[in-house]
Amino acid sequence: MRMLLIEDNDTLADACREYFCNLGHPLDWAGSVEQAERNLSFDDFDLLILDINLPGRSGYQLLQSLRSQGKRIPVLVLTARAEVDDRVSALDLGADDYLVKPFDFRELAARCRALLRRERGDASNQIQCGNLTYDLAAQSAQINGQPIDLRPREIQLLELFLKNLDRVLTKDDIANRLYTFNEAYTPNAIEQALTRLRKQLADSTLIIKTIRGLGYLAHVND
Amino acid sequence: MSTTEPEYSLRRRLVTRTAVLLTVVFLMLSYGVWHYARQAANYSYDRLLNSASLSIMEGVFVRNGEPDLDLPYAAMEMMQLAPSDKVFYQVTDQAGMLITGYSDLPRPPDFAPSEKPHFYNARYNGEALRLVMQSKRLTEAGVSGWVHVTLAQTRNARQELLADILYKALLTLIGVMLLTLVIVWLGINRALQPLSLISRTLRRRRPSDTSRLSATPIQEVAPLVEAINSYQQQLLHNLDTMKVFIADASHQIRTALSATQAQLDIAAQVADPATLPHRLETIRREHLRLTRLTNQLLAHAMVVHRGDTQQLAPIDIDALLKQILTECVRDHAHSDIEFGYHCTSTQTRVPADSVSLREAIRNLLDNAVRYGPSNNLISLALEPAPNAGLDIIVDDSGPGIPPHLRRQALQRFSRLASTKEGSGLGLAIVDAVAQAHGGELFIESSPAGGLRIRLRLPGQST
Repeated sequence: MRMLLIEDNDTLADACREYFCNLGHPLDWAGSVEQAERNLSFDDFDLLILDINLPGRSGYQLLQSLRSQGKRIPVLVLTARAEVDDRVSALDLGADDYLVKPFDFRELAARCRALLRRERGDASNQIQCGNLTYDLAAQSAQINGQPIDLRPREIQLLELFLKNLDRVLTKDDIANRLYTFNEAYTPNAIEQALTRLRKQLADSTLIIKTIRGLGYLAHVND
Repeated sequence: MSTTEPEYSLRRRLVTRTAVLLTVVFLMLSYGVWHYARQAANYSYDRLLNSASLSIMEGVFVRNGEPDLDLPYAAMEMMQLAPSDKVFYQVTDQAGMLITGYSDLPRPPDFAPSEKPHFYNARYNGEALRLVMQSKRLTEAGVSGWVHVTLAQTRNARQELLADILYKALLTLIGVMLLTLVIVWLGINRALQPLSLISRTLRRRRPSDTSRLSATPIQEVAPLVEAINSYQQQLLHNLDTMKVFIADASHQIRTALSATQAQLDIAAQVADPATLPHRLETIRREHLRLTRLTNQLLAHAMVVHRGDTQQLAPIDIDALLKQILTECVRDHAHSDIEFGYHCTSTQTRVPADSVSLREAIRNLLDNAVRYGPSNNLISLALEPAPNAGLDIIVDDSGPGIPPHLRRQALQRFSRLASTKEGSGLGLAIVDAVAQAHGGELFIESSPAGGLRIRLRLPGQST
């Protein structure tokens, strides 16, 4: 995957390049919105990491012009301001995620992967989550290339979680998607399916957390 | 305090009002003086007219059965006392026939003869006259009936006397009025002097001067001086709090910075590269601490600032808590910490500032994660509180805080355990948020054995 970092602090930009280079992902760097627009005009990128406070035009303006041109490229916004209003407006303007400076590189990389995963999941039949691969067409899952044995209900459950990563699913949400109107089900049945699924996923980087009183949340820990 | 009234000068207003009042009094007094002067003038000249007419009447005698007149000289002498006035007279006999004088002098209306003199006003030949009619009943043989003497005088002397009295009285009145205005003006200045003195003193003060304004013996001004002094004390207190906060914050930041600096220095001169990873790890840890401290300091400042300026609007606390908890679970998905949520309130909307409330709850959850065991059980709950308020409760299964340390836990930069890297600002931020919402913060023991923090938000009514 190819990523473009738009950031005016040289030290931070250099560190980012080195970090992503070590991970095996080339990272291009632009110091201003104008330069970023030149890069975007003759290269294709899978992801933009965009700082908001830039010399000249601000990151918001680039984001706005990209979205008004109908470009759907995932954008992760970096902001030095921790005010929630700032984040909300970034998301309102069409950013896909945000991260507040100072941030942990591991966090940045994880967020980038999550964004790319979302993009790929829509485009191809395969969802890659860390060491877990799920084939939408074949409805089969592999951990580190090893197929795992899942029953139909568990497959449905896994697919539901993969499509709703980092979101809370209530028991009702799950029941509505897994069971048709006529099928009788018990909350117990869902829990049993979940317990078995968790056991099968024990070696994977996909974690399904229970939030008591609220529901379930799946997260890829890569 | 804002006032929609336009600016005005107390001095000008008082003087204007006094002047208006004095003018009204002046007009009333002037009318009285005029009335009195006219009466006085009429009184004196009527007496003169009366005496002269009586004296003329003395000169009436009967000769040959016919009344006749011997005009006494004294009467004319008397009338000379008003030299600028013309005098007219008429004497008629019992049959109404003219004996002597002007035949066409105006007669009084509704006249009934009597022994008393009859005064009246009339116009004659274009001149205003004051007239008196004196009557005398003759009872001699052959001559019996009323003889009338009419004496008239123009009014010049009267007018002069009236003008003279009026003029002198008005002059005195105006003098008194002006004197009153001057006294009022001086009085106002004298009364306002302490105010100017206070403002002059305040203006001349250096910003570093923290002494109180000296007390004033003037009872009316004392409350003002007292109010200024207590306001100043309040500001000074706030300033002191701020100074302590800045001092504490600088201490914390400098300590973290110098630790990092020291480790960097050592790392730069180290001979054995094998120890580098260890040093770097230390530097990284210190740096993380500094980052967290900076974030918390800014969050604290933000929360306090918003508390001062932000208007609270009703928001759905249930939705907010679910959202924050979801983020928190996502951030700690890799750990063994278990999370729970429980809402027992049907009404979940209260006035709140979502930004600072989010900061407070994030801090409570972070604290629970930070100070709890690795298999912590953290549960967030929303319960109805008295007066339509809501209790946001965060329970953990950590070590808790012993009751005698709970007050201290709310103070800034007071870390109870030195082992864990905390900023010492977490609960202070939550406390500031609680205060900004008019709510309360309670530190209790959780039924699960750990700590329970209860953030109470007041309901709509308060």
